[in-house]
Amino acid sequence: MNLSELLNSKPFSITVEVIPPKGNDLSIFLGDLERVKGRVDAILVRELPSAVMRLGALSTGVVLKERGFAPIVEFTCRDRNRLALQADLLGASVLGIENILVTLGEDIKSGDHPEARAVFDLNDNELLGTIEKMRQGSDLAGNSLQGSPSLAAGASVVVDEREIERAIAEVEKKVSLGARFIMTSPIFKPALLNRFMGGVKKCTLPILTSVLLLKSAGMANYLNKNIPGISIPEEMIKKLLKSSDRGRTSVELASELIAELKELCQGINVVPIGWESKVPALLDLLKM
Amino acid sequence: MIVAQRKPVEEIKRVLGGYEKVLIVGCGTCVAVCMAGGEREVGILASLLKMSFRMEGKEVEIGEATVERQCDKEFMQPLEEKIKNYQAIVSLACGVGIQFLSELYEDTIVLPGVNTVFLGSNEGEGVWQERCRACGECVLAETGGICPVTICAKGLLNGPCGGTNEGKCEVDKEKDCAWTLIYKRLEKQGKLDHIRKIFPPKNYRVHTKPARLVHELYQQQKGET
Amino acid sequence: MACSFKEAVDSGKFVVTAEIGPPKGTAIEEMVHHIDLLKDKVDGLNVTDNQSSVMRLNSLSVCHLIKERGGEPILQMTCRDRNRLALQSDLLSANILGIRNLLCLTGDYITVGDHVEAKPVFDLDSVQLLQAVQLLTQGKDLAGNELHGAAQFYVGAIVTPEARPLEPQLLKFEKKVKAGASFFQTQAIYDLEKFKGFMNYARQFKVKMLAGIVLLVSAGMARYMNANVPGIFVPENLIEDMTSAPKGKALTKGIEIAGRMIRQLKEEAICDGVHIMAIGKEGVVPDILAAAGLA
Repeated sequence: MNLSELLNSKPFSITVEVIPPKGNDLSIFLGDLERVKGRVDAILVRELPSAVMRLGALSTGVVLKERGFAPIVEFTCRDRNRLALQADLLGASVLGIENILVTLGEDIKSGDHPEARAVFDLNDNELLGTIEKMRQGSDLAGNSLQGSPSLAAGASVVVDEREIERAIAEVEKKVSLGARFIMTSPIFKPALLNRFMGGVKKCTLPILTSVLLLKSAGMANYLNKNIPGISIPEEMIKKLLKSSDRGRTSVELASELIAELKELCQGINVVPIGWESKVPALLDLLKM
Repeated sequence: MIVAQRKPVEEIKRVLGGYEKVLIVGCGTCVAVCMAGGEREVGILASLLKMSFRMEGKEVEIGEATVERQCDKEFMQPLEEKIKNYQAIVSLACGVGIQFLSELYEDTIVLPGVNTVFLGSNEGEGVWQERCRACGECVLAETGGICPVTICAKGLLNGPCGGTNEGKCEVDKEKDCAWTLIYKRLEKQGKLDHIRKIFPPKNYRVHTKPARLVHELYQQQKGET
Repeated sequence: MACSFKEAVDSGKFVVTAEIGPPKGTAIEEMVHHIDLLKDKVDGLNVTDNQSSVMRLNSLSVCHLIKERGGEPILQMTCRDRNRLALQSDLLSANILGIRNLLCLTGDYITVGDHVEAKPVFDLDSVQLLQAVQLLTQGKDLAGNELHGAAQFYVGAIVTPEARPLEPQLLKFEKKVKAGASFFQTQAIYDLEKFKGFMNYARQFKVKMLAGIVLLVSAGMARYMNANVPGIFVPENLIEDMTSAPKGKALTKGIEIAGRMIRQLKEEAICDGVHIMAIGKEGVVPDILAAAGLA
């Protein structure tokens, strides 16, 4: 399943983001996902988010594919040089993983191996360009490939309301490098998405908007303060603060937001961060 | 010491394009020893540039000055008056000195006249050898005074690798295999036990850029505890 | 495979491993053909990791394919291209895909390969990687964090019995044993008397030793290796044998030499097995086994 084709073929798609476990116990991970099988279009498998060492995204994607899911596998630039990145891209293709999300990768310092050596041999734009080159039959150094990978690469873009022109320019840049879909950072304001979509519609690239399940007012305030591009409105934070059942409120808030956002873009990427078990309830509210 | 190499004259000329009053500032410490930027080299560069500009029919005033160290405010003081007469400075100090000079005299354009290449020793008669990578985790006590981080191409802490041959490195047959050198020196000293133990992975956190060091006695004074 | 590589080794039989070199792309037909040809004839199949720093299909996916086809893969992992996060993550990945056998190597330098501007990583060396493997099997990672579930591995490393000088190589070999290597595959050997001397030293360590056998295809190849590959010394008499082989029969001679060496290693119980490297000539490995009386 080629994600960009899927996104273009129907008015609205939904994906769920998952983080592989820190070990080899997939039981809870798979259990949560079984309950959304058939109800979501794809699963985005994150690669060592926040630089915490975990099971790899590629192998997790392979396991998911074997169980009938459609994985999108994240490739960051932080931990592998261009030899390993390209080798793993070939591996993804051979194992039937078509959809790749290219990101830069968070700082080593934020993780649980702060003494590790950051690689960043390529940046995210260079990696995007590399995938396109490989699709055309040669590797980054210009050597011919024996068999080109069939991959559809997407890119992530931070949509910061204070710098929306920059986000639009980013999308244009990613398109020129061969990106087939865009995934935005979490957006909480439909008006912001509307402005952004207005600026990028000439790019004719399917856009997936990320929607976070907020666990608490504390979490929301932390994100507002520390993560670039995140702007959670006061009303949402107040509702969480007043709520006697934060899990339910969080799902309700997400579903109300998604109902508005879905009119504006090609799909939503649900980001549960530990609340994967609440995604079925969200899908119920969305009648999906 | 810091070893540097003077940039090609053509490159220096190119970045100087348009300036009519240029001061070349040398440094009397490291770059003087490695013959890249001391008083003598300042003179040489000045002559080369004057000649080259003259041949193009350009009138460029080229001044010369050398201070003992360009990384220390104390030594830069005497330059202050002189600098006011020039539009641009070509500094022959290492990258540290160039930046320091730039910061002190922000209104003047400061340009690098050298490429800073490594920390090394004077091997005598025009030869300098890289010796240290300033990694912040010195293991020389255990490797007989030979640095595996600098001299081993792969920077291995538990070497040698399988590519070593007759004491030479896989990467460049002219270069010595650090771990063969280390083995031989420790064998001579009867201290091979030092490298029988397994060295743990390197700590790359030691240096987040740019590094800063405040002596503990001055920490409170600077408010940097 | 009837049994796992570890079971084969533990049974005391003379084990045989061979090597699969992934293609430089996604065209896997020929490679799959070699996998199918060899999977039931050997106890383990190594899959190289961007060997000689040439970018190729990754070892992990090929090992997965071998496993799917009923073979016993041995995942080669070098320290050149991945930091400790990616290395440990790939180890967990191998584990989840049922890949148990590992060979940990430092890795050739970047400049010998086809992406000379790539950044060499070497965040860990082969000894530290072996330690990381041990920790993962104990349910911990290198930074001391607990894992949800421990991994299971059977891990080996390499050694060059005729390295010059030899002593630093042996010191490193001992460190690899200490770091948890259970088996070793050696660099190619051609002088069995010298190898016996090495085994007299190595036997004190409770590790399994597989002698490296590189198939000679021509006299030129032998001379090339002597001049360029550290630790490989093809004796003059073998080069002579290759030179004097009738036209078109050099490969046959090479197979005969390999077969003879393997037969002797087995009959005299010099070591625990062999690792056959026939790069580009995987198709003749069965002939080597036949020549060795192991078919």
